[in-house]
Parts: sequence; C-alpha cells; structure tokens
Amino acid sequence: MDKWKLYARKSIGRRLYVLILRYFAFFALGAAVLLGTNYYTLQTYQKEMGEQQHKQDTLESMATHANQIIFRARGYYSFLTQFEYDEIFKEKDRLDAAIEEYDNLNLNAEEHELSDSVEKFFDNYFATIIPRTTAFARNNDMEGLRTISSSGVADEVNRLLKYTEEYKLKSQQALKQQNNELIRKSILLNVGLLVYTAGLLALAIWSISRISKEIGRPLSRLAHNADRLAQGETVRWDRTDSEDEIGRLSRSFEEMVVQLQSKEDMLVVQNEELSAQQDELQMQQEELQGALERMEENERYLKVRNELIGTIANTLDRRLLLKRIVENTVRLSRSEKGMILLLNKERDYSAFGISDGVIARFRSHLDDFVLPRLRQTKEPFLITRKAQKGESGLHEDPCNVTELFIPIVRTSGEVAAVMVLSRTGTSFSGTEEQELAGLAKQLALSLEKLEMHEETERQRQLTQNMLNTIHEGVQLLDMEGRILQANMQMHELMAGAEAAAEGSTLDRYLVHLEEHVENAGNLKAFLQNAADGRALPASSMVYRLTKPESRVVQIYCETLQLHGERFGVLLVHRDITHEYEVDQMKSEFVSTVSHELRTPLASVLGFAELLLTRELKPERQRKYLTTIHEEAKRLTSLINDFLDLQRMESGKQTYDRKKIDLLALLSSVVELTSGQSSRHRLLFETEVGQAPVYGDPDKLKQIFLNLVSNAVKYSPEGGDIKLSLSREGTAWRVDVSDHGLGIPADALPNLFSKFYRVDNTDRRQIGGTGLGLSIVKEIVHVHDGDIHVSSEYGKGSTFTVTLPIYEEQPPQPTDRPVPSRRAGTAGKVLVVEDDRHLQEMLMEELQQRGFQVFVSTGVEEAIQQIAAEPPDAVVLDLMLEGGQDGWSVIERMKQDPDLRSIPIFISSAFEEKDRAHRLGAAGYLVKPYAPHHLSDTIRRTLREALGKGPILVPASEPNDEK
Amino acid sequence: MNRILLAEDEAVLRMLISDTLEDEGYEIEVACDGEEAWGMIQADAYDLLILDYMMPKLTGLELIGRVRELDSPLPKMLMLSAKSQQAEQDRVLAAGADAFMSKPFSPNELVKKVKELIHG
Repeated sequence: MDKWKLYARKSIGRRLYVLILRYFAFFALGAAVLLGTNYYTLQTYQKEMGEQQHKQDTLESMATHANQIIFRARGYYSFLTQFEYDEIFKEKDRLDAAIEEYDNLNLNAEEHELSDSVEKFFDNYFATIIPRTTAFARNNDMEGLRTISSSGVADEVNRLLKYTEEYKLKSQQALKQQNNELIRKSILLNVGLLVYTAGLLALAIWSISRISKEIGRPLSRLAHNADRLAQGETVRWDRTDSEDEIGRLSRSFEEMVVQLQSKEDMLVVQNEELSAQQDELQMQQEELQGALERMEENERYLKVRNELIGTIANTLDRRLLLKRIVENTVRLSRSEKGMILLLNKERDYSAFGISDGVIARFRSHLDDFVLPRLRQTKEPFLITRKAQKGESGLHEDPCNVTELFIPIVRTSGEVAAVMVLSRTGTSFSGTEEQELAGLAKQLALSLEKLEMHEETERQRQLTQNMLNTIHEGVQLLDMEGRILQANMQMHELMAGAEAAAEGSTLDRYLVHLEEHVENAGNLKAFLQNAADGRALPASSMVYRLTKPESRVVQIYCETLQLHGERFGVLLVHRDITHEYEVDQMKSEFVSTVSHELRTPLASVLGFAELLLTRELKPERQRKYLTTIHEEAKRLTSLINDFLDLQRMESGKQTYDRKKIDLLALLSSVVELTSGQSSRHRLLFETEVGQAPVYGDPDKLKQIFLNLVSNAVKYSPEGGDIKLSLSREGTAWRVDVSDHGLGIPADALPNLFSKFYRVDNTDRRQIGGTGLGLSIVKEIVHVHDGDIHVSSEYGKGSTFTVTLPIYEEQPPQPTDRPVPSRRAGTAGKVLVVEDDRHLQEMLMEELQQRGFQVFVSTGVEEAIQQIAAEPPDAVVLDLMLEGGQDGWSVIERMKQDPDLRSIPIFISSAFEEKDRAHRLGAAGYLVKPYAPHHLSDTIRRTLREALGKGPILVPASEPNDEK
Repeated sequence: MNRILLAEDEAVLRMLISDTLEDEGYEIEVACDGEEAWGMIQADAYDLLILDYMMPKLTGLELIGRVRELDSPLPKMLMLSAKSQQAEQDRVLAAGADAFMSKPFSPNELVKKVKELIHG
C-alpha cells in the first residue's frame, strides 16, 4: 500500500487520478446502499402481502369444504343417494388437502389451534357421527338425527366460518398497516438521498482545493524564483520534499543555481589564467612576425626567379627573351645595371641601365679579357672598382662598384652568352654568386631552346617557301586527319577558306567541299580513303570546284612514311582548268570540223555515185557536176580557212610586217570587189590623205576583202555597201556597212567564234565556212587592232576595224635583234636531232637569233662533241638515230662534273616532263612547237644563269628585249 | 504512192536526196528546218520521215521526241547525221528512230534503206 502511495505521489497526473478515483468510489458506494435498501423494503412488503393472501385463501377453502361436508351429509340424509354419499367423502379429501396446505404455512399458535380443532372435529365427525347418522337416515330415524344434530355438530363448522370471517377482517387491517409502514420508509430514503448528494458536493470542493494547494502553489513559487534568478538576484530556496515533477523540477532548479554559482567562481579564476597566457602569446607572435617577414622576403625572391624562368621558358622571340632575362635578373639580384650578350655572329645583346657608349665599348673589348677568362674557367668572377662620378648617385663619399661577370654555358660546355651585373656600394655575397650561377644554367637551357626553335622555324619557313613556289595546291594531313600544312596555291584555289587551311581538320574540309564541289561524294570518298590509308582505286582523280569560280582540279595523293611507318598523306591539287578547257575545246572543235567537212563530202560523194551508177539526162549530169565542183570548192576553202586559222592560233603564221598605207590598201580592195555584183554599189569615203600602218599587207587585205564579201553576201537584195576610213585618236578606223539582213542581237556575242553561223531561214541559202570572221579577228588582234560589230536586225550591219597608227621612230640599232648568220654571238648550242628536216629548221631559227649551232644525230657523237667543246646549251631529242635513247645523253652529262651544269632542253613528241625534270633538264618542249619557243627558252635560261655558273656569254650579245 | 518528208537544212543535200528518191517513184516533200518539218508532220500524214540531226530551230532528235508523242499512227523515221560515232547512233536509235545513216552516205544505200523501211 505504501508502495502505491509512493507511486501516486511521484506524478501530478497520478495524484489527480487518485483524487478523482476516490470521489467516484464514494459516489458509487452511496448509490449502491440507497438502491439496496429501497429494493429490500419493497421485496419484504410484497412477500408479506402474498403470504397473507395465501393464508386467507386457504382458510376460505377450508371453510368452504367444511361447509360442503355438512351440506352433503344433510343432502344424503334427505335423499339417501349414493352420489351424495360419495360427495361427502370427496369433500373430506379436499378439506384434508386444504388443512395440510394451511398447516404448511407460517402459522401462529391461534391458527395452529384452529387447524387442529377443525381436523379433530371432522376426524371425529367421520368416525362417530357419520356412521350413526347414516344409519339413522337409512333407518329413517329422524329423531336420532335431530338429536345428533342438535348435539352441536354444526357448532364447530360455524366457529370455523366465523373465524374465517374474522381472519379476513384482520388481514385487511394488517395490509393497511403495512402500507403505511412502506410510505414512511420511502420518505426516510429520500431524506437520505439529499444528505448523500450534499456530501458529494462537499467532497468535490475539497478535492479541488486540495489540487490547488498541492500543485498550483509550488508551481507559482517556482516560477517566481526562476524569474528572480533570471534577473540575477540571489534566491533563497525553500526545500520541498514533494516527489512529483514540481518537486523534482524545483530540486534540479536549485541544484542548477548552486552549480551556476560555483562555475562562475571557477570562470573568474580561469579568466585570470588566460590573460596571463595571452601576454605570453603576444610575445611569441611578435617573434613569429619577424620570422614571417624574413620568409616573405625569401618568397618574393623565389617568385621573381620563377617568373623569370617561366617567362623565358615561354619566350621564343630572341629580342624579347634577352630583354626579359636582363630586366628580371637585375631586379632579382638587386643590381643597378645589367647586360646580357650572346656570343653568336651578331653578338645580340640586351642591356638595362647602361648607355649605348658603354655598351659599344664593352662589346668591342669583350675579347680582350672577359671572354678568355670566362671561356677558361666557366665560372663567374667579380671585379670591384671605384665608383665613377655618375655611378655614386647622390652619395658624396667615395664608394665601390662591383661587377659580376657570369658565363652562360651550354650543355655542350661552350660559353653561349655573357651576363654582367653591376652594383654600387654592396658587393655580391658568395651565396648570391652561387644563386646567379644556378640561374645561368636555366638561362642556358632557354637560349638553347630558343636556338632550336629558330632553327625549326627557319626550316619550316624554308619548306613553306618551297611549297609556295609550287604551282600545285599542297595539303599535308597527319594520320588523325589534321591539316598540318597547306601552301599558298591551296589557299588561292580554295579562295582562302579556313576549312582547307593549316589547323583545320579533314572533317571540316569535307563539309566545306560539300558546298563547293560538284558531285562532292566522289572526292570525299577519295579523301577519306587517302586519309585512312586504304587502297585507292586510283591515286588521282579530277573534281570540279563550283565556288567561288568554276575550276577543274586534278588531285593526287601520296602517302608519307617515316622509318617505315605512315605518318601522313600529301594531297596535291593541280588546277587543270586551262588544260581541261583546251581539251574540251579541242574535242568540240574536232567534232565541229568533222561535221562541217562531212556535209560537202556527202554532196560530192552522193552526186558522184549517182553519176556513176545511173543513167542520167545530160542536163542533170551537168547540174550534178556543177554541184560537185561547187561543193569541192567549198570543201577546199573550208580546209584552207581552217588551216589558216589553225596556223594563226598556234602562232605559226608568219607575218611579213612593214610600213604600208591603209588608204592605198582599201582602194585596191574596192577595185577588186566592185563589179563582182551587179546589185550592189560599193562606196568608199575618206578625208584622210595617207594612213600609215605597220603590218602584213596581204593579211590586212584579207580582212577587208572578207568584210566586203560578207556585206555583199548578207544583203541579197542589193543596196549600197559603204567603206569609210577615218582617224580616231591614235588609231585608224575602218567601217564596212551594208543595208542587208542584219544580225539578231542574241547572235552578236558569238559572231566571231569559230564555225558560228546565224541560224536563220533568210540566210539558209548563203554559203560559208563559218571561219571567216574568226580569221579576221585573229589578224586584227595580231596587228594590235580591234574589231566590233553593230547591227540592227533587218536593216543592216556595220563592222568596225581599228588599227594603230604607225609613227616613224628614230632608228635604234641596239634595240632590235640583228638577224644574222654570224656564228657565236648569243652562245653555243648543240642540237641533237636525227630528223634532218627538223635539224635544219632549228638550226636556222637558232642561228637567226644569234646562236652558234652544232648538230649531231646520235648519242656517242653528241657526247664526244660535248666533251670536246662544251656548249652553253644542248637541245636533245629523246628518240635518236637507230632507236638510240636520248635519256642516256642526259644521264651521262649529269655524271660528269664538268658537263653537269650545261642546261639541257628536251625536244620530244613524248610527254615525259616529270622524268626530264627529275634528271635535271632545264626545259621541255613537246613537238610540234613553234621554233621561236625554243630559242626564247634557251635565251631566258642562259640569261638567268649569267654570273651564277660557268656559262660564258659574249659581252657583245645584243639586247633583244622589246 | 508512198509519201516521204525530208527535213534537211543543206540545200545541196536536199537536192541529192529528193532527186534520188523521186527517181525511185517516191513522193518527196521537203522542209528546210526543224520547225517547218514539225508543222508539216502535224498537218499531214507521212510514211517515212528522213531527218537531219543538226538543223536550226529544232534538231532531228527533238523532232523524233515530238513525233512519238503524237496520237496519229507513227511514221517510220530515218536519221541522217554528220556525227558517225557509235554512241551517237545508239542514242538516236534509243530515242525512237528506225534507222540511222551517217554522212557522207551512198544514195543507193539510202534507197535500199528507204525501201526496207517502207515495204518492210
């Protein structure tokens, strides 16, 4: 029990529970007592009522049966029926049962006596009276009967009945009394309930006051104390023994206050100790500060040194490197002045704080003392001397200047440079000297690196220059597809596109090509294969650039190997646009010529066949023969025109140019043509008296004859054809105009093209080769003139030719070559050629140009001639007499040191330029070529070689530059 | 009577061909350029067209193309060309011509070819 009490006291909650439980227990007890009492009272009342009623009923039953017996007996006496007799006994049984029941009830003495007397009476009645009476009745002895009856047989029954009546009254009274008793008890119970409720209320008030006393008061006291403590007041603590939370809180609060106070004391003590330690630390810190300053000083030095090494390691410019070295070293060593001087050919230097005069003096006297010593010892050395006036600055006292000479030694041991540092006042310590010597080693490495870089750069530049002199675009790709190098021609070809230039990649280049190349797919595949090193179907292909201008380019690739391993691919782009166009033109031309020739041929052959195979009338025969004749003539003039043009275009046409009068020439043209056509009138107008030009009279005449005959041809309806000559600036202008068909505007641009003929029904009947105007244009251009046409379709055309006016110049004998067969003016040339005809032609050309010419037809003969009398140049055919190989002449010449430098010009029908250049030929001419090309080439080569080689060209060589 | 259209811009050849074929009893009509020929083909029906390849305005090849697109029964077509390469011949035949002859040609050969084409 005490344990539970203790348990309840430890918590406010539990204490509250206990209080409430107590209250409820009291309430439940009271309620139970009241209810029980009430219940019991009612039960007792009901039971007593029941018993009373039962007793009364039984009694009544007894009285009834007793009465019945007497009644039945009297009935029997009267009627003597067996039924009545039996009924007497039946009633007797019923009476007995009622008596027995009555006896079992709770009876008092009087009632027992009544029951016994009744029982006794009837026992007696049946035992004595009934037999007698029955006998009397049967005997009809009424008297007997009356006697017996008057002997008081019925008295007992009457007493019973009377008693029963009495009992009934009595029990009614008892009932009334009991009711009164019940009401009294009820009132009593109600009063009890009121008292009990008042008691409950009182208990509740007491419980609340108890709670307030036991919980509220200590809490507010605690709060108050806590407030005071928080405000810093000293708290006098009332101890409490309470076991609950407040008690514990209060006790721990108290302990806390005690601890706080004790800790405060400790803190004060510690604080004093700390301030003592702080003083000590202050002292130590001051010591450290000193050390740190020294360290920082050191660090600064190292930083400058690292900076120096860092910057020089990254500097690849010589001047900048030297400048940085000297400036940083002076700063690093706390010197006033300094200088570094390279011991290369130029003796490059950089100085800091030194005048030019001093530098010049130092450089010129370097070899006297400083260098020999440094070279010998390879160690720094000091010179101390008195400061000169300028050097001591603001100091008045005499002081010393120390100069430190440091050699910068290569890894090979050679002194690469000298560094001089100068200090006024303080000297260099041993440590400083060592440090600077260490630095010098770093500098030596930097200088070597610089030299290596310069050498590499020089090589690179050389390679780039070489690449740039090549006519082909060159790209160098490494194995990763980077473009390592691209030359100038490549840039030009790609119009400066960065994707094709150095530093780009194959991938970018391919993307670039996508938009700039026709059918880029093939080229891309080619490049990809080349870069991947896969086998190529062909090592070269042709592609067409579309932007920025259309170019045809042949590309070929070469794999580059180093020590047997692939390291890159060289792509060479050759612009073959010109060759391609020439080729295109050639094949177009051939096709056109073929067409032009076939048409007249078809007529000639066709009519000839008809004449040969058919029987024809004479008129038709004549008609056909005339046609054959006409067509054959047309064929001839076509071939002539074509050959003329071909000769002119290839430069083989020779012009016999001289001073002529254009006026006279035009007059003769008019004379020749007028009268050819009856429908046309030829007019010639001019206001010029004389028109000198310099040209070939036959060719010039051809121009105007052609123009006039065209005018006639294309004005089939006839009309005036006007020829006029006038002066226009520095040129003569000749107009040929007609009033004929005219030329459609869209045909004008092509009018002077070969085989171009205006497609027009009106002109269908007008024959022609389509070459006339091309020839005219060629001749005009050769004469430095110009031709153009203006025309109105349907109204006529005007062709205008301008030719430069010839002005007489004072004779300049040295200005022009003197055609001479005199030998040996321009140099000696050996022509090795087995074709006699060509031999003669070349000989004539070269002799005319002032060369002394020898000829040979075979290899051995040529070699002998060359050895006997070395020529200045050799012209060599590759196929010589009896199938001898011309290459062997070159090979043998190149093997002989005396003959090696003689330029060789190959004149061959084969295109083997590559091989020729490999072997060292100076020039290559593919047959057929214009002979003057050969002489020009030789002349140019010899002039270029002048002063460089052993070729001696006579000083009297005429200058033939125009 | 079989009708033949000859389209040829060279007057001399026109004369050669028409004389030759007229001697053989054919009726020949001539056109001097492609366009004229096209007009005549549209207006009239011919058994055979002899076309020059290189003609002003419309070439023989273009004419073949147009004729093949016509609804009317297709005439036989013979192409004459100054170009003699096999490739040329293949192209012409592929375009729909029935025969090809290169210039210069033999008039007797031409007659043979025309007979072949017209009479099978």
